[in-house]
Amino acid sequence: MLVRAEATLGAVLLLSGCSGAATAADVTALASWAASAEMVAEAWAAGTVPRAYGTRAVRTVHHGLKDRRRHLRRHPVGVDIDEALGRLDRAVADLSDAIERGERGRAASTRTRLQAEARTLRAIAGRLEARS
Amino acid sequence: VKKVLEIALGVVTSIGGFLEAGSLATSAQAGAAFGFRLLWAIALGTLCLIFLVEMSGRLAAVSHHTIASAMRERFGFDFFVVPLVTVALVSLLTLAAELGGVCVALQLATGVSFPWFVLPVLVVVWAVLWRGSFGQIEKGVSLLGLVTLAFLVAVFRLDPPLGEVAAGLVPSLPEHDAGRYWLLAVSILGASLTPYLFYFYSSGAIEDRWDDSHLTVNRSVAVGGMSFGGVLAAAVLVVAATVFLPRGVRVESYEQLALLLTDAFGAWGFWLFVAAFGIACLGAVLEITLAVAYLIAQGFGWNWGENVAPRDAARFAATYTLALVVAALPVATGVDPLRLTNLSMVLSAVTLPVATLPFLVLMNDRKYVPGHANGRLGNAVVLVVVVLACVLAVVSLPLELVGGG
Repeated sequence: MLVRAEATLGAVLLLSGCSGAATAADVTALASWAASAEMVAEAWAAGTVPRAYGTRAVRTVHHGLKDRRRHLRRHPVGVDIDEALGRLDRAVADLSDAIERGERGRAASTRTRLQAEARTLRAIAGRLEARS
Repeated sequence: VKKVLEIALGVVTSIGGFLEAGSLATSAQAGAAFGFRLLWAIALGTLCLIFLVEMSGRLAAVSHHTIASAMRERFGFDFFVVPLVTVALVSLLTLAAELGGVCVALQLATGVSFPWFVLPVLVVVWAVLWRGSFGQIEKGVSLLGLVTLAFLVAVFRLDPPLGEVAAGLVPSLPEHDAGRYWLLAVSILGASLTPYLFYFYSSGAIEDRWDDSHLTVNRSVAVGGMSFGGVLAAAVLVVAATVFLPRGVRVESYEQLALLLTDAFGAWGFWLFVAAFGIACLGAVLEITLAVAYLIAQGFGWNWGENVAPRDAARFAATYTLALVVAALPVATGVDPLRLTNLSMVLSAVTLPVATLPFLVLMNDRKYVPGHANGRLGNAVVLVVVVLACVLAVVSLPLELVGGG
């Protein structure tokens, strides 16, 4: 009873799925974080956002990815996404470093990698959704 | 001329004061996840709000009662304590979310964590409430809030497909993520119809000493101000649908939301968003704090009024001080303001019947509104939307759990 109540509260708080079967939603959320990082990279490279925002936004992306991965570890998706997530992690770390050092050109090239990983994750989410 | 100016100022301040963290976040989340498809929820919520705001102004102008004092008098304290506690709790949660919004705006601008801003923001808000008059607070912040018109300008600059936008005004079933779709619809309705809005409006009308001669002003402000305000909320949804949906970004944090205007305005877009968001939330903080204090003071029959010196309404001043401190606690401890916002909007929808149904009874009681009781249309719209929002909220929660949105 208590577990169910906690789950309900969690759903309200997160406005996102907490069910064990919600793996496609988890992968979609990972793709969303990848796309968010891409937007931050684009904005930072174009000089439309300040460095303080860029640094914090990348940190938020990092936390968002970590939370979703923790959930995915408890409810495996049945397809190998570790490789894509590894590449995504490296791209996010590179973006963070580029912003820290003020290297806009490097941020622009990281953007392309983030875009590719977001696309890969969206395709995996699509396959999972079709399967369910 | 004076009347026209009064109407114009009322409409302008309503537009400037319409957007706050709740309507901004839920509209953007809806646009990012479902494109234009949830525009109907904003239209429905705005329509119901127009009726509710008009009713609360009419009650104040005709009966010289606020909603809270009339309810207490009509139903007795034992009954009134239920809406009193419900509205006060939901409003406190909404206040925490809006306070968090102001702090997040400062975080976006500086990079410093939002909990650090709680104390300075609290002091500024408290000082404004302590020193300011109702007119200064209402008109000052609302006029500054006109910066939220940037969302409407962004729509024109982004040039979305107008046919698809118009189609979003017709309710439709979702193609995916049914639980999330309905929960967002409920959150939008909750954000549009947060009870503090019309409770605050009736108290404001008494503060401004409205009488029968203000009925035209009231109707014009309710229809004009709320309609344009609804257009602003719709603009946020349209911009989010144009900017976030094609990229596959679903809004789970305010950092994501901060990029809402950069496509339309470039480097200005970020700062416009920060200003619009911060000012909108600050305005809401001031209004909700006053609304909670009005509700409790009127409920217990204390002296109240923002135009009264604090020493002459000490318990009223103590209540808004305490409300601010209580609402600051979750923000100071680092609870995510966006989660607070989502939670408060859903709870606002769930509790709508408790806040509005006794009010509807009042508006049909000829003792309170002689010659100005509700028509059938007003009763029907409010009743249907309020019950719909509550039922949808109760049904969509398990749907969201099962569907895993």
